Amino acid sequence: MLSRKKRLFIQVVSYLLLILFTLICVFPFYWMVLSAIKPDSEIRSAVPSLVTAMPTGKNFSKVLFTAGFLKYIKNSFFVSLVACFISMVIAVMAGYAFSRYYKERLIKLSNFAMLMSQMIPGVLLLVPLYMIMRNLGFLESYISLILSYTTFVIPLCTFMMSSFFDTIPITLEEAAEIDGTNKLQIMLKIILPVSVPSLVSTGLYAFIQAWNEFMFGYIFISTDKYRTLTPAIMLFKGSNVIDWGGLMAASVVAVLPVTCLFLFMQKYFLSGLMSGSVKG
Amino acid sequence: MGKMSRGRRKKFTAVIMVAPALIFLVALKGYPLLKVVHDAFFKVNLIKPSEGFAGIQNFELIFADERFQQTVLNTIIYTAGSVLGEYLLGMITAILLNREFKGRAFFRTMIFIPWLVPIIVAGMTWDWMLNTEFGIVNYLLQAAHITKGPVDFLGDARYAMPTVILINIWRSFPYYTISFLSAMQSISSDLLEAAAIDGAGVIKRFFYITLPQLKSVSLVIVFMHIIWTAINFDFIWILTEGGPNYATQTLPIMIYRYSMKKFNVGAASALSSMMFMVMSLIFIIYYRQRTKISESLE
Amino acid sequence: MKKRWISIAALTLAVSLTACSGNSSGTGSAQDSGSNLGGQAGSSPPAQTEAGKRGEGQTIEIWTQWTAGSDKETYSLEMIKKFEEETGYKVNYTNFTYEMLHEKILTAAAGGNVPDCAYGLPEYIGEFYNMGILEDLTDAFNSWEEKDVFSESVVKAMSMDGKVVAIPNEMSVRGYLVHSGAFEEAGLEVPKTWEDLTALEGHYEKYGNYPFEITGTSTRAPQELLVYLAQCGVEIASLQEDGLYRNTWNENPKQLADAARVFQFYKDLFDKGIVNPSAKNWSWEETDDNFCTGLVASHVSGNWLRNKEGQYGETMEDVSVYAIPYPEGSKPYTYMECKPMFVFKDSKNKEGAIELMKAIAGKEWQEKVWAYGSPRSDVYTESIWSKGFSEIEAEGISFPPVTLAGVTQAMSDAIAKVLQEGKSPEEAASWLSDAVNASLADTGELSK
Repeated sequence: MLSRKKRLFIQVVSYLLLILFTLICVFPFYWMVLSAIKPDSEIRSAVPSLVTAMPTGKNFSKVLFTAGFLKYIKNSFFVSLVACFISMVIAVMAGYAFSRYYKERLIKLSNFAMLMSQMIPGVLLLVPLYMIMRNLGFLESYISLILSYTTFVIPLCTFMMSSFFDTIPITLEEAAEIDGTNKLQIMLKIILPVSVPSLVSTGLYAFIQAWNEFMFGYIFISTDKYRTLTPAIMLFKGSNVIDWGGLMAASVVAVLPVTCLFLFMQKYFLSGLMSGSVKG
Repeated sequence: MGKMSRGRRKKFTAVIMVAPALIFLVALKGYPLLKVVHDAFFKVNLIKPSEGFAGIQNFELIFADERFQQTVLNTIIYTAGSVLGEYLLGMITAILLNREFKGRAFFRTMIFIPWLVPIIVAGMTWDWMLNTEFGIVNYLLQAAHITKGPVDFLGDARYAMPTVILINIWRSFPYYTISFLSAMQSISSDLLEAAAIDGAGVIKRFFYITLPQLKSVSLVIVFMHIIWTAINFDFIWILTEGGPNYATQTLPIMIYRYSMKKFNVGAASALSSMMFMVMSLIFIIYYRQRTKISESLE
Repeated sequence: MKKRWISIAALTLAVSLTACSGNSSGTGSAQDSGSNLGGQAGSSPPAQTEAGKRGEGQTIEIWTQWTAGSDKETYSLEMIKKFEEETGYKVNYTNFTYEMLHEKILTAAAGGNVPDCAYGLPEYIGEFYNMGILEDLTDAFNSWEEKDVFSESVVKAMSMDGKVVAIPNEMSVRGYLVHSGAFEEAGLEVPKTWEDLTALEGHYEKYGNYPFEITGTSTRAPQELLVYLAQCGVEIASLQEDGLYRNTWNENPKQLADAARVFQFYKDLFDKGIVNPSAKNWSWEETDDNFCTGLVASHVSGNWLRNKEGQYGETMEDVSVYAIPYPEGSKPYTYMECKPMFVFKDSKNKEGAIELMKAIAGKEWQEKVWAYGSPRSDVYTESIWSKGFSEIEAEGISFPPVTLAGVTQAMSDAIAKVLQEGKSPEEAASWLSDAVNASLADTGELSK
């Protein structure tokens, strides 16, 4: 067994290491927020300071009101929520099938296809997807984004749900089935109520992915009205001048909602993500 | 419906349940993928009408590209460096967090945060922090007398790739941490205690008990990240656009350049198809390994 | 039973999809407006149309470029609002970076969903014209009573094959910006020629600042290279008898030697320590800031540096502007950037678009948004950023009117070959010649 001294030593070292890691992980956010509230003269100072004496809300009001980010936030919320909802409906269905009917050949095949589809990069499909959206008349609308975001999160969401359904004893359903309850009722009345933690984590995952996506939003949308947050951040990079204060304020605006959601629901989220990641 | 046999009914339900997912995958991944493979053999231009069959011309064009070799090499370095670094950091943080102590939940939350950030925000923030004139990183390095002048981390061909890899590790390692942590928590404490009583030290216990138990999760996470890292486009594009002087150009960047900058969809598709073939190969190796492991567990 | 399952799933999908397509938001602000492309079709103008408001009920779709949150954005929005009030048109604008703008226009042109009009860079004129997507504005321009405030060279820059295909909204030339104090203190004349510059060897060791700098990367790099090439008497691509373009250096030893001389100049600047060794990696972000903070004594740039005066007031007090250094015995040239606005052939509202173009190029709008760099001869300010630049004695040149994406990429690559990969100036010039022709061949603009 370890001596007390040795134990204390390990304890101290591991605390120090954890603090170091935490600093590395969190410092960029601190710097982002700080740069956003610094006045112009302090942002471009040869000796960057770690605090600011004169915080200003100028950059935020510029981002939200002049640069129209309120609208981009609204668009991002709408697209992410709808994509999240559709993905969850699909993932619950498919996840249930993966969990309960894994012996069926079609299910085995679907499982393989899904695993496989996770390795197709978005950039590879960018041009054909662009053409499809164009031919369907979906460019310049939320639909193009919702469809593509949904497609790219379905696999992991399905794996997350199915690994959760694996933990629900099948006897519950069998009892209900004997009573003559149909599958839909079983789903709604028995399965879903006990799946809330898993639903939360799956939904949050889908939401975060959609919220954070950049490339499709950048390529598919060329109307200000439908633009989402992430591509809009690029607009602070001018052709001859970069407005770092504005850029950082816009970044804060983009990060804040997701981080808050995560902080409130992290308990569910992490456990759900873990089970899906191990399976996927 | 009541007349359906139990087996058939099961099958029917299964079909209906996976149908929406399959429809999405086939329409928005399967079909575009076939289109890519098809376009690889045709003269397709994004802004001009197609000019017919190209044979293997598109492939020849890619192989003749003077940056092709370097790009393949860059992709391998970027992927290997990222995954290795992420694995190590993920493992270290998971070990640190896999004990009962005060503030554990707090540290776990903080460490997970980089994973939540949109790629564009992570890229822009680091770009700003690494700025040669006003960046905090260069300032701190110089204040600590580690470097003499400012280092142009992203603009200098010598440092660009290591910098991009480090930022990518920063962004991705939390996922490893969480996965390892969950696997570690499922290792029975009896086993570890028994080993401890037998006199096995911390290090010995880690290598003989913990690590073997992490084999399955490691396999999944490493393979998936090899693929995800190799195919990632936005991250490098936002940080360097593949520059300086192609020092950080990976295959997805090259695909994007061919399709969106040169509008040569044919050549981009040829490159995509080749990349997809290699990825499939890696995937098949992985799938076999996985099946083997899960069989050995049963 | 199971059928209900599907129908419910299908229903939720359908509901959510229609929800998004049918979404409409409208807080009524200038930017939040508007109908879909072509959405105005069929909606008749309201009955009580005021006389003179010919645009009532019509929409103009325009793609713009300004930095988010900048003054340019604020003023432009003000002017758009004013235009809407005066004419009755509804202006739907979408703002992009130039890079996005370029990609978007090309992909939209392929898909047949271009806007009515758009801002652009001079580099796009030849490309878009060759694609046949631009509306011929010759008649509209010639019948405009204000056309005489645009100089001949401006009109030429907006024309292809004698047709006016764009209306200018901004013009700037590059100048050789100098901290005169830095040279005075050292008892030196302001360098006029390449030779003056390369003679400054050892300046950094003596005075602690670099006398000059170049931009090794980013969009600025090919623009600088173009000027230096012109000063040596060579073109990146020259017009041939068949009306197409070609780089002729590799067929003409004299030209190749002249082009190589430019790369030799770049090399000398580094070998002799005239510029910071890191400059080979620098983009405009670094070079502009270095000059403004006084780290570098002189630098080739444009009038946007006035935006930094507020920040670096003190160090920028002694800035004056000259012609860009040229090789002894040659002529000074400068890069003239006259930014165009296009009206597209597929536009559904050409009349409105042209009216908007004229308003943007009109005196009021120009004075509000582009006072420092207007293509109009009647809009300028007394500061060095406006008058100072216009008084530079150098001929303005710009890129040849071909598809440039591949050409400028090759130019940046050629600089990198000399400065980063250690290739000789001759090798780089010869490589660039082939690369330019390869790019022209790709786009079908190469002369045989």
